[in-house]
Amino acid sequence: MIDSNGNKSLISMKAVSKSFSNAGHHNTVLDSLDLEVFEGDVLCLIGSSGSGKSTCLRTMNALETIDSGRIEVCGIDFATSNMPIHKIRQKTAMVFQRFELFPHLTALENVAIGPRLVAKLSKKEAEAEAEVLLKRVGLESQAHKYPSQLSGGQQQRVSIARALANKPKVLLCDEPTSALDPELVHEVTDILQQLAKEGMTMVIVTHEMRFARNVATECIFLEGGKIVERAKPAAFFDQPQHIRLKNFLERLS
Amino acid sequence: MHAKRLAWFWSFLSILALGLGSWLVLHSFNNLDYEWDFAFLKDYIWDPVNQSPGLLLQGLWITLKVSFLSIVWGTLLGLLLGGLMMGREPVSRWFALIFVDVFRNTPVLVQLYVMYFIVGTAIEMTPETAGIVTLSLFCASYVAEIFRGAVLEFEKGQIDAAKAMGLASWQIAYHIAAPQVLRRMLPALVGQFVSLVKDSSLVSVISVADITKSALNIVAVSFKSFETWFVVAILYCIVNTALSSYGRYLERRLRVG
Repeated sequence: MIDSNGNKSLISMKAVSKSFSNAGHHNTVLDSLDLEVFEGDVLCLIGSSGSGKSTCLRTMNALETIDSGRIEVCGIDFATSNMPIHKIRQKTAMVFQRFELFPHLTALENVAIGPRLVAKLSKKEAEAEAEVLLKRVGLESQAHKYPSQLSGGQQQRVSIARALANKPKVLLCDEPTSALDPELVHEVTDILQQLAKEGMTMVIVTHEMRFARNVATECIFLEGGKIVERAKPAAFFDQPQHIRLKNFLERLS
Repeated sequence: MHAKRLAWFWSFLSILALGLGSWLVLHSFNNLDYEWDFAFLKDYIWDPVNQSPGLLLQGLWITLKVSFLSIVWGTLLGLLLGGLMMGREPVSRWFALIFVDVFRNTPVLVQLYVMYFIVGTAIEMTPETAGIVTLSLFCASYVAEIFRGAVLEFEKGQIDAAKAMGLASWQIAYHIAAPQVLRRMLPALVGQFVSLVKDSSLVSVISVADITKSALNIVAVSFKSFETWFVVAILYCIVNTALSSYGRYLERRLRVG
């Protein structure tokens, strides 16, 4: 699929539903959700907790299973393609709320392990690439430290470098600043904004409204596993149409 | 509380305990009416007649062999059992749980008797084989629990990160999980191995010629039990100190973060 500007669709979700049944209690997390991510899009998923935004993001690289619907990444359907799931996942990369760096590897090794195991580069080549990426997130001086020796902001920057190392088509960010001390948030948002400027396609689940307004090409408000409103940031924050979004934004201010 | 005073208090207690202990031992030995004679053991270490290792060294070799083989087989089997215990398949999970419970909760001595005199008679096993099989199964039941504990402690979020990166399952197991799980297992594992070396002395009851069996034979001939058992204790101590020092060295080398 191609959008009006001639950009390719990188992720396509069609009528995706998912629900949990817990002790007789039925909980719908995603309710027949349609979402298309085109090349160059920076989409911010916004909503209260339990609205399905993180689950929605995690279905895009099959970290969550779905009950019905279809998800395609670069035109490859997770359910019907004969390509193994891990190969399809290589087209995307993810940044997690709690960083999830590998604690037994140094910052440099954390970034290099992707190129080594996925692109099958030699250790030397992979580490040379990793050094360039660490420089890009301003951490070349911390390359030989272990994650436990780094601050939260530094760990998240390493994890962004690690995500970029496999040259993903789409970068998925799951609340990338939620686990950070307030004064460290900008370390991470600055880098993500820079990436957006360079044309990286991103889907970001976030609670940082100022960041969403600055970085997004479009913001999406989710509730009850459905898209309630989708608009450019200015319209989204200044003239919200739906009453639910209005209430949500009022509660924040 | 003042930190310095606390440190001083514990030093004092330790020195007091050490002093009391030493006094008790020295006092006991002084009161003992016994002619010490370690010299006769020389011939049991190196046999001067045949110019070959004596009974004690032969026994030490068997102890090392039985312990080593039991540790290797026990570890392999333990990892398998631990994997089954954490698996989703119910029959194999129950099998593993029952196996581990039986071997952890019964005396090794009884296990040895059953393995040699009952099973060993039916399918013809040498005492040494029966001993190695029993100790391997016993060791496996402990390794299984140690493995399970280390895996449960493992941060699962990393698995998502590795999956999101596009790694295949075997790559996640080999490059991400294994190094961390092994490192976590190491202290408990070394403790288990040290215990196993000492427990291997029990194979003497099914007449495996290990170092304990050698000592029993030497005592039967010489009636010098104190000297013999002291020397045997020192030999076990040397083996286990080497084992745990190597373990501590590995722990330092394979540091996690």
